[in-house]
Amino acid sequence: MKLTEYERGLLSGAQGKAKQTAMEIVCRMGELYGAAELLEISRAHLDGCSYTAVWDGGLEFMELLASQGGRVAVPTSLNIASCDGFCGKDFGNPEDFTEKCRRMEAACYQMGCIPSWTCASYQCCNIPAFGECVAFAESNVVNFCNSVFGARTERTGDLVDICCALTGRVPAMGLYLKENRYGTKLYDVRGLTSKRLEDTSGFAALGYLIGATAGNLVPVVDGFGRRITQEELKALSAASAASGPVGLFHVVGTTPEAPDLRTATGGREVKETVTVTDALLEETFRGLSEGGGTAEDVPVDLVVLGCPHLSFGEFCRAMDLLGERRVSGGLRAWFQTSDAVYRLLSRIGMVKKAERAGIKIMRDSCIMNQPMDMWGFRNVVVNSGKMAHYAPGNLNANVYFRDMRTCVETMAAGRLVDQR
Amino acid sequence: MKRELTSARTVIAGDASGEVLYGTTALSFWGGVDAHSGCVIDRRHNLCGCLITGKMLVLPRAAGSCSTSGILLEMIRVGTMPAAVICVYAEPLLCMGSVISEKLYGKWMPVYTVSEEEYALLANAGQAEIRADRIVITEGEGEV
Repeated sequence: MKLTEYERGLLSGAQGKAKQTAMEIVCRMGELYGAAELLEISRAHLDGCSYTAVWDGGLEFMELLASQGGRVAVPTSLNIASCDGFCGKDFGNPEDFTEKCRRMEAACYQMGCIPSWTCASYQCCNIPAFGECVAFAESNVVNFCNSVFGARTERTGDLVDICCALTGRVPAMGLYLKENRYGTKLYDVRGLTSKRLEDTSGFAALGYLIGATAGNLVPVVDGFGRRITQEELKALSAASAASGPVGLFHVVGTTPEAPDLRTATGGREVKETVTVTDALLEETFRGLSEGGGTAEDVPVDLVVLGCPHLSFGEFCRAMDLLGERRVSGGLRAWFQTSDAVYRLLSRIGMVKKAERAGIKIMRDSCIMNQPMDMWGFRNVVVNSGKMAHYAPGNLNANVYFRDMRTCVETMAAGRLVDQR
Repeated sequence: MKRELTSARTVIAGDASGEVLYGTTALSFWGGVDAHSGCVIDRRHNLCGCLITGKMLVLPRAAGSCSTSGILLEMIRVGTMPAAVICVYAEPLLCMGSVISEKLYGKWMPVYTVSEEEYALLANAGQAEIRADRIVITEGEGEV
């Protein structure tokens, strides 16, 4: 690989041990993947800041880099923490676990990171522009920023992320290169009339289908008669990055690299085409629910909204659907969001309103990244395709994937209320 | 019957051998594998419930989560990692956990790629051995 004088300096230790180690790792990645050179990045987003994503090995690495004087070279935001920084005790986090989370937090701050603690950093805190070269980690952030902003990032591995942030460099490979960004698998949605698409959960199901079938190809979705909203894209993006190795997709007429199909594909023939029918979408939607039982006999333990973290608008919409009703039936209703969005909600009295209704707000974190065994959740209702994918394994629970209205009706009724 | 996989390419070198665990779909280590027990927890994956520790894990590639690299680092640290991973495409988030582990602990997990065709052949392999960057599989169980 061709290195600049600055890069060679990093490698020789001119900027300290932490950056030297980080540079060795970035260079090794470049060598492994045949990169001709390194690229400068303008931003980073870490996922290796979540204790349960990297455990003691990762914590040791982060603390080592911090203790060696490592400071990030670019604005670096943080994905979720493994605990709510304000109410960890309320969610049952054991003391020794909380201590590890605190150590991870300290290491991140020592290195100069932005305390965003959210998987929806693109809603606040760290928003890249079109074409901006960044090192983002976390599958949904990667997919969203590549696709919706047209920024450029690879699916940066946890702990490689901090190395890129410390050096300000990434190998020129993969999705950093234009020729790898063209759409190569077409998803024709012209025939879709499904009412599922009136809710973000329908887009999550579509995303899940795309991720599960994309293989090594870059999906391009064509045929929507309108622009798709950011919240719909958020659901699609998170689900497709969970069900498969998707780091970039295009939606013709919506996403910036796809004003039309020809631009999205670079004028080339796509390698494969999938006609997405209402039946296929419905099959995927239903397939996201893992569990038995009819609507009446499912004793719901938990309804969760906010994977990825709820936007201000989504939180308000859920509260709107709930109206003056309260959570009932002994189930728990948890809403997950960032501290930044929480403050906005708090300012208009929305936090108090939610709490009075019996909703518990989790900030900074996610139930997928914390020990949840003590709760013994068996039946969980979610509107996130991503959470529906991971929850059965992570929680050892049955998951019921529904639209937001059904989730809210379930909260109010105290049992699973299927909308028909 | 033994057969050499001639399309084998070294990503992270190392000798390893053992029982083949054949994954028919991509696997995420985060949310898909329990780092401390070495068990596959992804209920949608064909290897759900299997122990990958010490096995020759065969996958098409890694699935979504970027945290696969962190989980693999921890697995190598505590010794629950597979003996090796053989896949069609070895993306960075799969390999880099092994690279970082080598730097921190001097321990790593070999990663090799094979062609789509030879990945399909591995479905019938009971055992695989990687030695000096060559992969030899033993097909079936005692079949001639």
